[in-house]
Amino acid sequence: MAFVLVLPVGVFAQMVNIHLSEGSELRERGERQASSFVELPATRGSVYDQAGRALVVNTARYEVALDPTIAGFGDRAEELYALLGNLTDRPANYYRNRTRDRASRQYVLLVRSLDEASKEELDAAEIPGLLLTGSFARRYNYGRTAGHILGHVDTDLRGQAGLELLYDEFLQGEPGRQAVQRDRRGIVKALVGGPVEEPRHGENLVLTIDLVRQAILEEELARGIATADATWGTAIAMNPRTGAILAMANMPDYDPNQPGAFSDAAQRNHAITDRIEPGSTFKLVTAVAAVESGLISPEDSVDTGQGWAVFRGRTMHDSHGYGRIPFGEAIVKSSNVGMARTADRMEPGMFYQYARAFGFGQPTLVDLPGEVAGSLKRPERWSGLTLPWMATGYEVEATPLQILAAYGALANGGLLVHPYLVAERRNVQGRVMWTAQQDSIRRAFKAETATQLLPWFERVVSSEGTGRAAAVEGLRIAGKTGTAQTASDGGYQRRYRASFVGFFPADNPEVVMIVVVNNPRNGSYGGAVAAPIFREIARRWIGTFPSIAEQVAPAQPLPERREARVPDLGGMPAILAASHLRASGFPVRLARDAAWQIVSSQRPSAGDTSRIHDAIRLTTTSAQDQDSRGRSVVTTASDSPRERIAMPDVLGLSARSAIAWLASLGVETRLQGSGVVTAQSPETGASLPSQAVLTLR
Amino acid sequence: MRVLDVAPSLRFAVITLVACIAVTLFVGHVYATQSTLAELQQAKRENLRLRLTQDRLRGAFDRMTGPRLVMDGAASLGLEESAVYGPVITTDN
Repeated sequence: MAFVLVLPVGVFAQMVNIHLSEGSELRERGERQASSFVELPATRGSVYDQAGRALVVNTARYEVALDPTIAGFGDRAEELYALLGNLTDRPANYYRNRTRDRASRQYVLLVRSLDEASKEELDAAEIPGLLLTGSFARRYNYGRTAGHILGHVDTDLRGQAGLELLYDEFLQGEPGRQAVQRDRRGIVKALVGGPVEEPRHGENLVLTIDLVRQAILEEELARGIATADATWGTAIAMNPRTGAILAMANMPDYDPNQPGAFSDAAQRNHAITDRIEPGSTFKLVTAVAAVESGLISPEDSVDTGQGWAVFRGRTMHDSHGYGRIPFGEAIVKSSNVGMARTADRMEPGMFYQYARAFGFGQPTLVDLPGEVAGSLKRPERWSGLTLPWMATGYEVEATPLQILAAYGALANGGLLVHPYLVAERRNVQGRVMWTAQQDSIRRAFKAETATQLLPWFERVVSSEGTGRAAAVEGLRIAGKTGTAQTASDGGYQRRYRASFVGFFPADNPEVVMIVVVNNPRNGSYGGAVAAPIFREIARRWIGTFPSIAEQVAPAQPLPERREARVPDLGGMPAILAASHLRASGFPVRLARDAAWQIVSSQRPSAGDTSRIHDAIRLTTTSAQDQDSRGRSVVTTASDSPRERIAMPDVLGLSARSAIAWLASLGVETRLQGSGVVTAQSPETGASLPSQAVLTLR
Repeated sequence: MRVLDVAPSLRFAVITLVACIAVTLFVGHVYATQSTLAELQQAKRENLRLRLTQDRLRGAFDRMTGPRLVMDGAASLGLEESAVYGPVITTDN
């Protein structure tokens, strides 16, 4: 009982003693503990397209280091080297040598950046001595798609190019911090009631581009550049009313996931960083200035002579002699002489003012870094040749985006709009923090002038105009071709820059688009090189604009389709054969368990014409039901004619589809890489092997 | 007259015992809170890790079903893209 009474007294006495003798020291130590903080990392914002598809996200990456002195490592060292060799693009020997030649006894860095899936494999191996340190990584989900728009980051996740650079401040966020307790071993423990500054996560960007349109634009631009054998090309599309950029691409392109693997040239965004002489696309400025100033109307005639004219001792040429033609026809035929003779009657100051009003000589202020302003000399610095030559697009330099913005003004009735790529910034909770203001910069010219000139620019994309190759059946397109000789070493060489800029539908434009192809070796004219690229993009974009698709109509009613050519289906799995039949217009019935059986014969034969309601009978390796309603059916066969089956074409298929197809033929498959099949061995048509090697990318 | 008033020392002992229990409960509460906080922070880290994993997996899926691969795949199947004529069918997302 006495002990019970004395104990609290003793405790209290000790408390007083500690307070008096060690209080200040303990308080100081406590404060030191409280001032120990750990950083709470902020996640970098993601980037989405206008439909909400994630273009850029964060993932984890890991640094792999090793302490080879840990017990048990020696027995499993070779296993680790082999595993790292499989997970990375370096051989196992690299890791063996690196460990052997390490500077520190207890530490060696093996891999600087390992992805999460590979890290999980390392974890599963449970090799002693491994030290894994996690951090954030940036992932560009669609690889090269929109690479020049998105830009890339460095290893510290700081923006280095594109939107990543311009919006770095908003994407980055701000890390937080938290007071923690550390014990004598340095182990961190939570400190109850300690100060916490929550991290401010980076904001997400919602772009104006659409991934599907962007992919189409890139694909057609790449195809066009390859066909023309050109050094580079760029294409931009914009909504002419709002200035929202719908797609922007350059070729060559690059993958922001590994920017170091690409040259500076591949990373260059020509759309905003290259100053080019616009050539005939600049005739828009001449036409507007001449018509709006009352100098001439589109119907008034202008003498283009025999296709040449001399201005102050220097000769200007047209591709043909057109004689006396209406001024509007000079637009349609892209007559240099007609434009120069008209402009030569103008006051230089007035022409300059119109060019300035169109935005030439000033940046568009698009939200991308590195935009150049182009150059437009003041009239005091003009020579006697400047005005006629500038009227045809020389002695002035502009970026492709500036030219696009100028045609946007023609499309929307005279307003120069401000192009932009980021529609919204949102915080991590999805709340909209900022919305782009759709604003026009200025009125470049009167709406009536646009109305007067529009029919002539529409005739450019007709059988009489230079841009006839841009025409899409059923879609009204207005535009202008441009073919400029490129300047080098103070003179012009026989190298060209072909361009086409136009908009559609001409009566209610929703898209204005420019295509520029530099130094094409197959062809040189804008109408022959750039216009077909424009046409293919426009043709494929129609389906992405329901409002345009509704207006588009074929020139003549489409004939009712009664017959179709039977595709060659031999050697295909039934499921693929069914897809081919559907694509050709034949209705199909396919038994579920027949999907991967191989078609060994067909009736009617490939290449024959058949009525689309008649059955196409396919024979596969085992029995299936026949369809009583006359649809194409997979039907019977008793044996597998392996010796007659050649190696199928599996290029472009996913690994799963290719493996399933080959497995159904009894072929073992070995895969290299990931993605879709880009190469196969043996090649299509070779004898069916026992093993095939597929390269995926 | 109450029992505790009769024996002051007993009253003192009870008060002291109650105080000790209170202190013990408080200390227990502090440790429990600390443990909960640690668990919360662990859960936050796990949440972040899972979000990053989701980003990676969703990104891989998006890429595999992205327009570039789908268009390539369609082309390899012999499908051709062309302008579509006729009434537009609008579907809800």
